[in-house]
Amino acid sequence: MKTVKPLCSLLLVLCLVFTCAGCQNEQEALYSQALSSQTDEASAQESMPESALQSSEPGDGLSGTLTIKTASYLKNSSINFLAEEFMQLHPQVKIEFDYELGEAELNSLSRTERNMRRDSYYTQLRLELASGEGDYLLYNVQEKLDLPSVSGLLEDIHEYWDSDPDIDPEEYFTPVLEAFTVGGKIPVLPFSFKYNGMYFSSSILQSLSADAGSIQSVSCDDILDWYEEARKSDPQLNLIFTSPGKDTLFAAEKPRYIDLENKTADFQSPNFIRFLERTAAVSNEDPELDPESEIGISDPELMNEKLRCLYTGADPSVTLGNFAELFGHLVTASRPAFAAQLDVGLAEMASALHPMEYVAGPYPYTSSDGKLGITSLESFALPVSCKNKDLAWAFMKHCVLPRDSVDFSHMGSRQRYTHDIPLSKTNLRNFLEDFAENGVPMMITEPRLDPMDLENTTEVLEQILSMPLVNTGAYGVDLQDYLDEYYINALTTPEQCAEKLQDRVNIWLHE
Amino acid sequence: MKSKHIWAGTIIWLAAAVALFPVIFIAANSFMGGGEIVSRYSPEMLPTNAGDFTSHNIHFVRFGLIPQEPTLEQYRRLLLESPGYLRMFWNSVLIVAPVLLGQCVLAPLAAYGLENIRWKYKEAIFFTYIVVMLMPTQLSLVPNFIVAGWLNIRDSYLAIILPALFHPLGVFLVRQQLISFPKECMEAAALDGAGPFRTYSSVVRPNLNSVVAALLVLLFADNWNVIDQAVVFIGQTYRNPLSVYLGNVVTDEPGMFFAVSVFYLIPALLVFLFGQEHLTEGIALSGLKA
Amino acid sequence: MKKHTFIYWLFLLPSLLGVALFYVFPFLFSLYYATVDNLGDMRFAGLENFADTLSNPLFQQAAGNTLLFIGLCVPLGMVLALFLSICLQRMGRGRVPATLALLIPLVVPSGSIVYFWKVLFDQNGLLRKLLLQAGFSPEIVFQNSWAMGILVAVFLWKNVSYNIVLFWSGLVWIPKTYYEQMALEGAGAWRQFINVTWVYLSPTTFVVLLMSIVNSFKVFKEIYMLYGPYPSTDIYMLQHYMNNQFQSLSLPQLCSGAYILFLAVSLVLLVLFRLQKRVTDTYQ
Repeated sequence: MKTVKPLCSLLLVLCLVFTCAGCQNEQEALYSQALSSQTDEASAQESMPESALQSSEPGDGLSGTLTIKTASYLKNSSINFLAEEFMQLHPQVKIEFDYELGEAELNSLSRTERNMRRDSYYTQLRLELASGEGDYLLYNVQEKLDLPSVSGLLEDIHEYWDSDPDIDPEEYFTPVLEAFTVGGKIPVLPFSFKYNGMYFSSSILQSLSADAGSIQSVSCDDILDWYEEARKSDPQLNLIFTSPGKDTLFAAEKPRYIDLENKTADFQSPNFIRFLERTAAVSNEDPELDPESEIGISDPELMNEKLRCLYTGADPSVTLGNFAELFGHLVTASRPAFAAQLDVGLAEMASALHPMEYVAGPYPYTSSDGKLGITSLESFALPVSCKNKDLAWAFMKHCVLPRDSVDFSHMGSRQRYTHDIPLSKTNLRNFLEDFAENGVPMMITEPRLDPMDLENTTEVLEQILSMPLVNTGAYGVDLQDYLDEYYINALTTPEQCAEKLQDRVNIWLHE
Repeated sequence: MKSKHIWAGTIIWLAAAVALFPVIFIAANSFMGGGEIVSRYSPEMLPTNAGDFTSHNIHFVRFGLIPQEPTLEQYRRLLLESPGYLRMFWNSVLIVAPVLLGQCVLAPLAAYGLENIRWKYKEAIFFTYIVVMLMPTQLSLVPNFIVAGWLNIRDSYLAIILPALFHPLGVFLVRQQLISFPKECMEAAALDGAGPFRTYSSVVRPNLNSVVAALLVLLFADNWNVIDQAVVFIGQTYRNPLSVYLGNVVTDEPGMFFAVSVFYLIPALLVFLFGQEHLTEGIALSGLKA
Repeated sequence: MKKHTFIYWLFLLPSLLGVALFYVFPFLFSLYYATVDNLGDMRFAGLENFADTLSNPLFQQAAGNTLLFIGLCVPLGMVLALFLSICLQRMGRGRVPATLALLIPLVVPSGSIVYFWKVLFDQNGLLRKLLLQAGFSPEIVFQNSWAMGILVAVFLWKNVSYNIVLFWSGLVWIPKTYYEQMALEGAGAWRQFINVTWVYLSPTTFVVLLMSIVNSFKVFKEIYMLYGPYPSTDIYMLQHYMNNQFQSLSLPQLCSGAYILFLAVSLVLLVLFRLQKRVTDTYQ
């Protein structure tokens, strides 16, 4: 053993020396670069002449720095342009973004390192909010925080919304805002939204003598009823185009069985068990599609093309045009299906006005007790600990208010203000008029809307929004492993699966 | 008493095998390529694992210690292509070394002081030390975050090192041992004219080596594996200790995971080799009570 | 020794300051959080949170599971470790490599060992594979009610090593002369154990007990990596409860739950501490 000791000490020293060599690496270089460019910018800011302050518009006392914490960096996303616009309008204001994964990180980090970064970013965000030090505005990160308990840490948008003279309640789709209420407060301000939608094969609907024009909304009961009926004449019919998974219908059903107000869940009821049985029995196989890139691309336009090829024998490599290379195989090799699911944003709304040849929809897709799910990918939350709340509110307002143009062409970019339905009715009308003039930016076809179609669009949307609305993000408990166990591995009976779901949701509700 | 030795020996070697087995597994897997690891352990049924046992659409693991296609791919990728992980290893060392040094110096001193002070509520202090060790991490995260803000050490390793350096375990362990330290020794030293510090350094401290060695081993175990505090206090990924990386990569990058684990273990083993003789020292009391 | 008391306080001071700042302060600060109703308003709510937590059936279930877990792990870990430490003392050759082998579990990082546990115990793991191949029905194989046993195994693998270190450092302090004396008086191995080892080891035993309880909370890291934040109700423990509340920032509930847990454990420990002191005082 005596010789082992000096050998070991040598090995140890070697190890340490070796690792020392790996000290400076490209990440560190990138960071020091980014840091130095930030300090350059900051010093440039400071050297701005004093006279700039005096030349501000009367009554516009906004100044300071607003930090916005947001998820991953997306090149040229609309929020960056909105920030630029705002800074141009208010020269004393500087808006900075603190990304979960910034440009440098997206380029240089491996998947594990990104997970590490994500963990530490959100943990630190939570700690800063909890300790009252979170001096920033949140954009699209509030989903990562559990809203009901964090609502104490976020400002109630109601107070700002109701008291600000620039906000005319008539101008906005207020039911959507109300859908984000938690415990009597509204902690989130969305400036655009989508609702759950469902599309169907028109010919199958016709054969079921369902009048495609008069359907107001559909729920899983309707869908399963029609499907089971249609399957009698075509046993191989798939339920959802490109077979995304038998649990696809579960997401919209969740709000029926979870009562957030009273903190109860009802998964062990006979209704839900029946739902599990029926959904497990559907046909959902697309053996010729590539599991990585083609399964689950449940796009109604592609379904339309598929049905076109099926019924007219057209050649997809011709009809798909530029997309033939990407989706040609998908269109030819996918099995015929009854439905396609897609959330309804701007472009999808427009396709409702100018329907596709073989696919009917979109129809509002509700839970079986009539609740329509709303999602917002562009929303703000204002922490109580933010120091300059007036500035933050001014920026939030700037993003929500009606504007003249649908894109940022006045700033040199074709990027649109949003791809989802804007909260402001004026903005929606602007977009629809733009679609009428320049065509709808769908993928394959670019239908032009008839200006006559636009007349009562807002009323139709308001009618849809008069249904009970729920924020899909509020039901974010992860149940996927139990669903997979039931649907994919067939390891549990419907009753056992329901019991497991019930247990976990109970835990989640009562913590 | 040879038979006793044999029995004891057998039991110990059995236990050692149980303790070692997962490590052997990790080491063996470090010589497998990424593809083989995915094919062996993934729950999905892939073309590469078509011959394995499956049931209910689940592919079961093809456990084995001998690689089907031995390769140094993992080590190559770790040592040559990803210097970032070497840097993270060095971060771990930077965190653990000050903690061990600090506790080694402070804890016995503090325990000696605690043992010798005369105060009515001395045991209350000791009990407080015990009680705060029971605090779960989540409870102390927000206040530690705030304290780190006050001390302005939020984005540095000090925020991890300092709490670990003052962790009550050190004082607790040493003091428990000091309770059974014969007071006659210390009185004898005092009679010889030694002050408290002389008594400490010449009489008490040399005999505490086994406890201090035990303490260092345990502290090393805790801090080599630090994850929660690092996530809270360190922002950039390249400054994280390697334990955080390993905690995150459980299924993400099979192509390097085992090599990184082995790499993380080796220096620890070497440190143990050094420390083990101190662990087995005992107090030479053979003449005292006779 | 009175004139030296000041110096002894000086020795203690750095540690005292450090513990006060990094441990006692958070402890008291959390009490503050536990008595406000909501992080936004920060209104004083007294013992309301504690009452809510105690009456929350989820908390009660988690507390029950935690008690079961501690009740299984801690005694098993202590007995095994003591037994192995004594065997280690008795064995002849090869003690050094055996010690090293036994200490390896302490330095294996959580992430690495969790991979191994997953290979063994996950849904597609080796254990289930062997059971299915042996002919057990899928219902029995895939149920989760013995998940607690898996957790105990995960805990024991690492913590028996931890306890061995502690017991060993206590064992080497006991002078051989005591054993030799007893042997001369004709006492067998068991009498020697009861009268010498057990008595002189009691401070160490208390240490091991305390650290085992502390470690049973720390093993949450591995449990979380194995089963995620929402495991089945059989193994949902207070650590999950507290961790999820931390993630959702319900700090008042988190702190009140943690305090209740902590009060329960410290009561038990206070009793044992007194007991241990009495034993050691008798032979001083």
